[in-house]
Amino acid sequence: MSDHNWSLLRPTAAWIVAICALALSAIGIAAIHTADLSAANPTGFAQRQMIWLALGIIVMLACAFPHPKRIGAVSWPFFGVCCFLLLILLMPFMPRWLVPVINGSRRWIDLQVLTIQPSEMARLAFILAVAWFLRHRGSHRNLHGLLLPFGIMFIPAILITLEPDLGGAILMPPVLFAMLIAAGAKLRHMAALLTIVIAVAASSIASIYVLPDSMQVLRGYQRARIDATIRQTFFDDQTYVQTTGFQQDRARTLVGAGGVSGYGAERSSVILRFNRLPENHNDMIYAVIVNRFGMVGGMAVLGLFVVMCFGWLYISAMSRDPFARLVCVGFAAQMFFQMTLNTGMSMGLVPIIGANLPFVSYGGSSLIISYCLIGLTLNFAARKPEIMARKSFEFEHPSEDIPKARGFKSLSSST
Amino acid sequence: MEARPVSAMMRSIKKIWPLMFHRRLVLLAVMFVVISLLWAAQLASLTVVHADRHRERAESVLETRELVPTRRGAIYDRYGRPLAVDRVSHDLAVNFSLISGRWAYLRALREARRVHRHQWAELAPAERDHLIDRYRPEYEAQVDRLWEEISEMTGVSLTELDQRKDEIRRRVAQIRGSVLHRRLQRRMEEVDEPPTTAAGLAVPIREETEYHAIAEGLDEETRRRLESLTLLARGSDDPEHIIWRLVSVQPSTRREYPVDKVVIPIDTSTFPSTLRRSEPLRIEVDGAETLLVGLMRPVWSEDIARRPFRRPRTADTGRRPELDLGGYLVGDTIGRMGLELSLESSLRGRRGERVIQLDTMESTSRAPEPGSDVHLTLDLRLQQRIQAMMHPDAGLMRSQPWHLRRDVHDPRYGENPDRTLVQPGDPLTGGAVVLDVRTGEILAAVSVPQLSRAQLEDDPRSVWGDVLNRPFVNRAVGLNWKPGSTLKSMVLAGAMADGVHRVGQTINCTGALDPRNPEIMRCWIYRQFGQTHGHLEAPEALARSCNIFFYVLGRDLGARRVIDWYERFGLGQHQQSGVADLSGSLPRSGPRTTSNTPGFTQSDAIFMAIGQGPVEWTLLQSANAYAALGRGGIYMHPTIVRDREALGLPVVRQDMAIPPDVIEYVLRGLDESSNTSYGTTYRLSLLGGERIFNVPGVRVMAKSGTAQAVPLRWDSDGDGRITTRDQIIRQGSHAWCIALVRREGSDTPDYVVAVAVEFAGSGGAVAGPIVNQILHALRAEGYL
Repeated sequence: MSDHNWSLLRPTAAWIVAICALALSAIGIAAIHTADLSAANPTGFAQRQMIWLALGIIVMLACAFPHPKRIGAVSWPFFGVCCFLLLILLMPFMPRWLVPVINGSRRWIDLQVLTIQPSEMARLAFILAVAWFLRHRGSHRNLHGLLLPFGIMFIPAILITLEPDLGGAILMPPVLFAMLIAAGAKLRHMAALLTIVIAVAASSIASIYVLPDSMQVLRGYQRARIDATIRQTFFDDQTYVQTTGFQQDRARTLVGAGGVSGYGAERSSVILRFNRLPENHNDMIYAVIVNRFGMVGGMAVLGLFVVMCFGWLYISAMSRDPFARLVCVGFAAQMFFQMTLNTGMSMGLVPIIGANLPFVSYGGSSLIISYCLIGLTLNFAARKPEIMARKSFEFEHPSEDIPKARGFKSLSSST
Repeated sequence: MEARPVSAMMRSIKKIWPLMFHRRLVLLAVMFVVISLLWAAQLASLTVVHADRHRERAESVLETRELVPTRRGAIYDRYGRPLAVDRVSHDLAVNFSLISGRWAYLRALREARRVHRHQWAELAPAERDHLIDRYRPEYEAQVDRLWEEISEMTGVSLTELDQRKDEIRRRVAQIRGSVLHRRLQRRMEEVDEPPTTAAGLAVPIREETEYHAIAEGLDEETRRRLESLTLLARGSDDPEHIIWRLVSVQPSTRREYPVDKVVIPIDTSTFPSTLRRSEPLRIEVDGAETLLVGLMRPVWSEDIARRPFRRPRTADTGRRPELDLGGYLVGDTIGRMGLELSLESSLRGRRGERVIQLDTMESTSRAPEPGSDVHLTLDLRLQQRIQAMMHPDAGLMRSQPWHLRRDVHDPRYGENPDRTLVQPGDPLTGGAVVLDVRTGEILAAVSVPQLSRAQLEDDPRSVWGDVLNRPFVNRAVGLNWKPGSTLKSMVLAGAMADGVHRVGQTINCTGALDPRNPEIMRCWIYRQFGQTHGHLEAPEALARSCNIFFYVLGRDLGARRVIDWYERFGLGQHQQSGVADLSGSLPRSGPRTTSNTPGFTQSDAIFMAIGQGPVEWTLLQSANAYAALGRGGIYMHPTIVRDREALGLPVVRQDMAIPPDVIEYVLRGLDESSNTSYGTTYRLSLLGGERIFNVPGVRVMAKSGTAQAVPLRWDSDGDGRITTRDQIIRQGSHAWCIALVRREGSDTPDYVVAVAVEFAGSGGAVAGPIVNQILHALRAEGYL
């Protein structure tokens, strides 16, 4: 057994991340079981999720061993493959048995023995590719240099949007922002871009109420969903309760009904059954968790995600490998924003756009890719820093030695 | 200056985290913490602050309500004869999938998928349809056998069953069309674009999943047989029996009006001589009580809005809608007119309910509260007898040559007769009211032409489209009439009670109120014969119906006091009798601001005193004003229901402070009118001087009236309004006669009979003989 294999067993922050992931998966399986009990015909999703979890752990372990340089070296080909798979989804002549249309979306490739969701892989590939691209660069410190990273993002983001899977695509910009901030992009550039994004979003929302239909940018159903969320959350308006806002209204109600300690498994399954919450084992799993475990369970999930993200940031801080650093930041951002999007939908803070809760929601592709992230994190955290490694992302003191950071203990010092 | 603190802060941060990368990570961490705190706050808000509200909403879906129908109160006449009852019976109802044929299709689809399950996914739609068609006939034959069995058991022929199925399909298709239209509109309102698929819009409507009554009023034996078949089907897997699961025997209540069509023999021996026949006339009466009792109709959205079953959520009622078990739901019925409408709240009752907890299947029940039964003061047989006598075939309600004095200028005759005037032989329209003076009870309230329920059901256009005869108008309570001379009695009573006129005082009739201007404000005797009445005392003036006498009283009283007296007699006001009525109209006091609210002039007072000008009211109001005179100046609301208090109707007994000698004086005038040769209700002058009243053993005190009426128009320009631009279809004078009648031995009048006939001419000649025949009817029914 090599040194790296042994070092994987050392207690590092990555294990905290992994334990958080396992805890979230356990909560997820319990919630899926509750949702399953509420179904008229039991679906067995909880049992299947346990199988996916086992597979996810195997994938996690498999990802823990390859050297980061090898991973980085395949990041571009992997990104290319993912984009090709996304293109396959959109090709008009694809047979239905290979690319089924489910709920009007072409998100899955059915290999008969296995169904894969390329957008989940593409999000991972995007993080790896951007991290590999930025690892030794400083070009993103000027405005023109930002074009290429954004270009890398737009390719899969547009393809995913066309599926359509807005929830999948909408996560990419904030992840890129986080990675660029970590990679040393100038904050004023980032602030300007963020201001533009916020201004566009705010004006789009305002236009729903101000502009005539002929001048609207968003599609009708998108406007209705935004309007439904605003009315239901801020004005307690019941206009959309039986139509566009039904799912969100049910989810909010079930979250609130959970109270402090929740209904418990049996009662919660009854409440869920008669409230007919759509997607209760998937996108709306957070509502099931809070309904069953109450605010305690809801806070636990939020807390586990925050701890997990802090773990990634800590690993990133301790790592000397710029690729690993950015990948960990990308993972943290990806998980955090996906969590806020998903839980925000259930709590009425974000319109329904379709995003699952990583590690928790039912779904094989999502779970396996999520554990792939954990495997890579274990891999990066267990690596000894290269003694001759170049200083990365330190653009303020190019000629100075890197002083020891207060509050961060160097990984090398622990070896 | 401001940059300094920022710089200092940056220096501190750099001291703590000297590496830029670490600082950026801290920035991201801070961002994560801030967003997480916001999310945690929202979670706490939902689960702690608003938990109760959300829990109530989430748990509200765990219970379901089954509504238990109630019984609408019955309506009986004064002798307990049922006029309207809810009949509880059982209907055979069939699921719509059997009526639409969808059941056979779905069964065939299921069978085809089962047999060809391995290749089903690869089959093209046309191939699937082909396979479905192969299995379909078997199930269609099963449905046919079911209909045959239903036909045999219920006695409803297959042809009739087909007709009923067609009717149900047509009705459901109509509802479906309107529901889909609403769904599409709602979708368009929400997303501003039509749906790309039919999903959502194509969800079956309630009526497509419900059971529909196909055979009504099952007898007991059939009900038991059908119930045992449906019960058997529930516990059986036999394919032949399964179809009976879609059949259900359901309890039902139906509003029935059990008054049968009757043939009434009319003795014409006491009729005016030209109408007498040797054999009793047999008149068929159908629906004498229809306008009074009323009808039911399905509720409209306005009814539901007025008293909804589910009251909308408000801040006061909390989050859950408040249920009113007596409120209206789609599919309910409501009174359409008559007593069914006016007593709706008492008759309706309140549903019961069974609340079932879906998770535990525990239930709590609340029994239905049946509607109150209503006992009327109406005598159905008297009503039918009067209706029969007022049938045009009997002759009294048909224009006769002796009704109107013909002169050379009469526009009815000649080469181009005025067809807007009633021609001899034309059927007449009008109404009659009989009141018990002592109690104010309405014994009969008849409207001509009669309205039968059969006609309403079979040929509603002949009812609602008949703008000339308007059979849907209840002329006893639902039509305002110009009162003509009938109100002179009230003017006299008022004037004498106010001291404007005294017993023994006379007024000289000179033909016109102002002899210097004889073209206006003339007496009828001067207009027709160029004569005058001379000096008259009040009773004789009333008997002769002298206009000049009452012009003077009106002038001396003044408009305000004339109106006050009309109001004291209840004229121009709702009568609170229990049946919905018109209020009539009286000019109200006020400054002369617009043409509609005139201040009063002397001529207003003068015209109002003889029943012209801006006064009109219902026949019931006139009858009740005479009843008040008959009671010695005591005003009471007339009533059609016996127990007014139970129905929330006010009980009023108000002394109008008319001295007894004044009452006696007025009644003397009415007595002279019908019992002295100069009285206007004494004889039929154009029919050889025959007496109008010929009922033996009773004393009749009557007053006639011939009131110039507002012409009847129809909406000839189709603008939805009747205006003076629209074409006149009937004009002339309304004929009135109101009689107080006293049995032998009675000190005071016992009954009031009031009759008014539209555009018919002379009150005494047209309405007098009808009042006389009503008195004969009262005698035949034992009242006199």
